[in-house]
Amino acid sequence: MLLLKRILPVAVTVSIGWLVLISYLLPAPIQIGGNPFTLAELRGTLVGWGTVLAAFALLLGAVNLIFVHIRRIQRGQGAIFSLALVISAIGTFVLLVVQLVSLDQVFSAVILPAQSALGALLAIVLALAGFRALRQRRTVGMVLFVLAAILVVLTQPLSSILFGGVAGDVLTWLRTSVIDPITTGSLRGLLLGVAIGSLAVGLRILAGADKPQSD
Amino acid sequence: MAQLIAQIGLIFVALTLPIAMWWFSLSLRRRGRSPQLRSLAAFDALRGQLGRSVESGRPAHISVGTGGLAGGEALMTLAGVSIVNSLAQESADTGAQPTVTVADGTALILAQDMLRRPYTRRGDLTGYTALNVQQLGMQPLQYAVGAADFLSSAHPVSNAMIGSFGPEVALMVDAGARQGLAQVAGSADARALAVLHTSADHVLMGEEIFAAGAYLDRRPGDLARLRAQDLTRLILIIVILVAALSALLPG
Repeated sequence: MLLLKRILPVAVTVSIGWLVLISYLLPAPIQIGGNPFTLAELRGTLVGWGTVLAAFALLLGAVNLIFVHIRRIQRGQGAIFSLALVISAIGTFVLLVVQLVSLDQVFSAVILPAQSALGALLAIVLALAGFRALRQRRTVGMVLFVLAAILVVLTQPLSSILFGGVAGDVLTWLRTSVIDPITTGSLRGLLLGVAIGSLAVGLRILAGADKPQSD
Repeated sequence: MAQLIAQIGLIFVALTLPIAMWWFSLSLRRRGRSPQLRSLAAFDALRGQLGRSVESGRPAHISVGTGGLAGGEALMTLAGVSIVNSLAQESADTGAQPTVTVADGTALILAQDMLRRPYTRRGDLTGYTALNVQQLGMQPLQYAVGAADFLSSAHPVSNAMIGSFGPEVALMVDAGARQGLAQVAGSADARALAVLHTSADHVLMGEEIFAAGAYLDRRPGDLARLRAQDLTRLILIIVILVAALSALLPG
């Protein structure tokens, strides 16, 4: 039981992890029984298995989604929306199985317009969040809001055309010489930290010190 | 060939430097020199979430982000799931089960497993409810809308969002702010961080999200990893500064 629950999952993860990593380091073909063989091919096979497992996970996710909304209907929490979701999910599945509609049709007629509408809503929510920050955290919010407003003006490549003359040149200089280096530098610092953190977590998994897949 | 050797050399340094720092940190710890962790209010807030959940009878909400275990966002999803893991034992002990929401099937399976482990250890699955881990969408925007609806209708006591997020997190954090929830959020995405700063109470920036295990569980290995990360970063900063200064020097 200990072997199945603790040792085997870690052994599989660590060995496959190292194999995939080494496959990037050794791209040259190896001779096995006279046949040329690359580790990249083995990596491709393993990724294929992973894709199959991920497909099953996707299916489980869809089932979970349906059950979550059935429970919400039973509890009366946003029952109408949940009912709409369950009916549309089952309806779409049936229509796809009997081939009355294609996936492309569903995507272009329903999903794409809905995603676009939500994307547009996002911009408004972002603006509202800015105003809320201004109202609730007056000191920090005020500074953030003013800085954001200045940034919006400065980061426009058209600032020299909009303001013209010396003012436009000064704004463009401010953007390219002050704002851009600060923001780019900060962003690179953030990315550097994330990369080191990711590397450390990855190495711990490869070393078997972190075992998210096992108790 | 020279390019390949340079690439392998670079990967070798990238692998050995953190390992060396990790080993160095572990050896320091064995000598009794524990690292002093700087205070991160977000983790203090996370610790209190289940307590408030017990008092109020309402669930705590934990989002592990919009990513799964395949692809570039896998490590960020693991960072989010590690929060679930850290709170799972307390959850099983107190009976205050959090509601964990995900946007990917692989994250769903892992989060369910994390919540189930304490019950499996005690050999009684009575208190465990699989549907406390909920997949609310298959795409980031769909998930964000679903989670925003959950925050508005399920009335959780708090909202923790740690993992892979994009600007769509604005919908979630806005819904949480409208409900007056205590919100802790963390992401490695600059666009998400910009949004989170306006509405979340505590924000974990960048690599801070990977420090959950060290801060919440205080495991020696995690503490050593954290110190190794800091040392590696310090070395890289020095290398970058030296390279930048040498480039500025004439000749």
